[in-house]
Amino acid sequence: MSEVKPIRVAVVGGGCAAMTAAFELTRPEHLGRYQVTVYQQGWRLGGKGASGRGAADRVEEHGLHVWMGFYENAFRVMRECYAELGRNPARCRVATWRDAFFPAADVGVMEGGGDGSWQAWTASFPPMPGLPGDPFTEENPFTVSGYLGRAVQLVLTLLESARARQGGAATGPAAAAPSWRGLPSPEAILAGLGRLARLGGLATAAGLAEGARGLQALFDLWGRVPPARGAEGPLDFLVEAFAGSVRRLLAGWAETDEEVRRLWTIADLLLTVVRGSVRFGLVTDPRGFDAIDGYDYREWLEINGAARATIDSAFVRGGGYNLSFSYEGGDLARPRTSAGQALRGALRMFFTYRGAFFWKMRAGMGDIVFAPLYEVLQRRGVRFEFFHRLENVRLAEAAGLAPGERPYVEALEFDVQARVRGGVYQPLIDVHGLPCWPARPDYGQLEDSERLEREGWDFESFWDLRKVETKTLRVVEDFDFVVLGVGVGAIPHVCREIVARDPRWRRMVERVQSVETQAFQVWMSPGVAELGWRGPEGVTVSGFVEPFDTWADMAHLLPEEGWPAEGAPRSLAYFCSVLPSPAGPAPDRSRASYPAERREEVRAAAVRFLESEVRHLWPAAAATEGGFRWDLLVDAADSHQEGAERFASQFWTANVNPSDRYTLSLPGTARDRISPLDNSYDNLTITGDWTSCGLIAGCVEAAVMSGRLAAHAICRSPALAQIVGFDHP
Amino acid sequence: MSEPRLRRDDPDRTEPNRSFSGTFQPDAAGGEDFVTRGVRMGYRLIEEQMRRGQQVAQDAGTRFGTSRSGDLRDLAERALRFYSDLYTDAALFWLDAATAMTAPVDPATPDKSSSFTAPTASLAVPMDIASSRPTRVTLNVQPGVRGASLQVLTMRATDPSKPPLMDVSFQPGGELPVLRIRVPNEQPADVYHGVVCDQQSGAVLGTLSVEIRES
Repeated sequence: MSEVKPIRVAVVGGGCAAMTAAFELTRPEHLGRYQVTVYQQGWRLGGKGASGRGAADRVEEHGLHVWMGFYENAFRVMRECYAELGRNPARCRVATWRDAFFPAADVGVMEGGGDGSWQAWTASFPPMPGLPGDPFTEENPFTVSGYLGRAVQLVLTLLESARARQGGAATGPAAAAPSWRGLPSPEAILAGLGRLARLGGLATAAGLAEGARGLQALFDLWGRVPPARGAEGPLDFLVEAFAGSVRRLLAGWAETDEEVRRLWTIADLLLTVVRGSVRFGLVTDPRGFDAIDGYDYREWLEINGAARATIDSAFVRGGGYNLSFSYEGGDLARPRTSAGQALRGALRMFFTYRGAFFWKMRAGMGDIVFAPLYEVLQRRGVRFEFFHRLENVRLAEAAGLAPGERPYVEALEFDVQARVRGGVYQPLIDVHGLPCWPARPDYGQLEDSERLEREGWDFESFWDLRKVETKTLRVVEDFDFVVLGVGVGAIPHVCREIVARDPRWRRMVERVQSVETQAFQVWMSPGVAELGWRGPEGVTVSGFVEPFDTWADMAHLLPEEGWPAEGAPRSLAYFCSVLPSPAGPAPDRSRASYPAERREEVRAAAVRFLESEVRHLWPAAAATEGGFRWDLLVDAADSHQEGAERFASQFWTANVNPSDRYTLSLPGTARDRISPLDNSYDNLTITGDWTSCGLIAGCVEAAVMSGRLAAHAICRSPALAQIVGFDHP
Repeated sequence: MSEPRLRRDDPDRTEPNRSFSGTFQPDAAGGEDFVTRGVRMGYRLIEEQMRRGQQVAQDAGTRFGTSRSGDLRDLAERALRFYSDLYTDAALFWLDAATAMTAPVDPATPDKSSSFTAPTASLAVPMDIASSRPTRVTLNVQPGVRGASLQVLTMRATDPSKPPLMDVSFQPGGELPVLRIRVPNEQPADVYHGVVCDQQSGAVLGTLSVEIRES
């Protein structure tokens, strides 16, 4: 009996998408059919989710990473990974996925006043049934009509809250004249709603509540029995009447009550989504939310009647743009994001989360996600080749293709950045019993280590071209299939031939844009409450002043770090935002100083921000004479620097490498993405949050979905129906 | 002689289904941990693949030469019934493969049995299709619909300006109803989507897509 030869898969890149593809291809049920080798630049996995342990074992990250409660695919992979890892809880404090992730319910936005003041709105999202990654056993939770029903329900809740603040009685069951649930057809409900509107029944809070219940019943019915195309038409007038009445009621109350004004902003946003979805026929459009992909989110809200105050609100700016770095070309004056994706993402975020709205990681993302993945994959026999920088994906000569044969990848050309003593690099370090990634490579494992360290080779810089040798992998000889998991920003560089030959790829790299981002972390001796923050601890806040519009209280990481008992920090703050790009084209690779120049810009911006803006968050961090109390910063190296110089002891990063850039979802570009399932090059599949993977967003979940699709492209597993949210309006 | 390089098979589709009901499938009920279930089903899949592969090879060796496409179709249908309990896409792959082995039919001539290319179905219903152009039919219905009185709601084009595909219905058949599709010559090329319901209860049971290409 002959032995079946394994199929060799070269996975290039070590981010969420690439690691998910490797994880899926090497599942035990495949019985070793796929032999995977991962090629990774530098010393660590993680891509945009990489982190490292620095001085005092502090966690230093690429940026802020929180997982949404709707990341079904990402949580499934991590739950399976931890289950297979089987860590002993007695020996490792992060043994299970529940140890690794914990609920974080508090979120907020900052709203600027005309007088330069800022005010925080925070909300604690209630826990929802189930946990992310649990099996779905009920009806399809992903229908437009289902979302609209929940939006109407939320408007009703907001209305009740506002009414209670005004001293009004609850609407109660007395208002429930019609029994909507008993009506047999959408037509009957529409007729009932029509009567309610014509007879002025929507003019009162009780009538509005009744109208909301009717709309919910209708959407619920449509959620179970699909209506004919265009069935939303007759609803247009009713939604308009409903929204108008809510506006009249709440807008009046909002004049005298700041809290009601906030409720009104959210209600107006929800009503605009309902109204726009009805007007644009999204309930029955086979394109789902892609039908409005060509619109910018704020533009779409505006044409569907949102108030200007709503469009300019921190809620839209923070949730719709800041958190997703949605500024075209990195220009803060050009906020742009696809309306279709903004709605898809927001509705999933608010209405399909399970367990908690946000989940935070107990340690750095590298430690919580990529170290366990590395360990499990290694056990399964995956080989890791660190210090391999991909330089070219070489295609077979077109002239050499057989008749009918598709173009294919003939070779992968790498620069080898360092030779590893003994051949196998051991990338993880032990931090109090937890396997972690270091912030620097372990030079001791590298040949000629003293020289590399002395000369400061930057293994993660796109502009550092130094290498010790080149390596070429050839199809048939060295690999059968390629999973290309680099960032979209790197595609023009490593896929030069494909981009030159293929108009679809050229269009993709031109239209699916990405931006540089920036982040910094500060460790401070007081806790956030002592700093004057009046909101909940552990909060994530967006919509703040540029250039650092997002702040997260990450003090939960401190126990995981290695601070001495005396003088240990009691708060840890992460800030991040898009990094405004310099004018002109991106610098070519001859400008080796570019990353350092940008890093210096981030440092200077962070110092200015701390001196002039952070007092709006933490009043007690402001010095009496103005500026920032630099002495609050905890210096791991105890270097005794003073004033703004002390910031040098903290951590900051300019994410400017092409593969580190954040992928945007610009209006009208969804169709320009190429799917991991695309078979134009029949031994190559792409993967990353920049591909056409169902969720057109730069996030962990999109990357994991893409990784699962890439695996499906090769081995037909997982089934597309198991990739949660791939088939989604 | 050097080894041939491997090629990926063409996927059934490359884009998500964003139409009304999508192809959402609840996970298996019963509360079994999905990790355990995934591994268990994966092993079943591999074992069954091996067994079916051996059977196909045996059958092809003894029957293919006599063009007994009915036997192959029957085998495919039996395979489908198994795979539809596991992975939809595995099921689609199997019927694609089985159809490719059946006798080709001149696409220019309307035919009662198989004048379409690559029909795919998660339930092996008989199909009666007449089309003068390349037409691909994809039927996704939930497991356990056998015996239901199926009904197709209006088949709409991806492009809303195009007229719907009207003559699509399930006709009474033997054990299973027959999916009957008539594609008029003037029907614009596009992908037409419709929802499959139970005529009695109105419950949604799945989706039907008909892709009509230019000649």
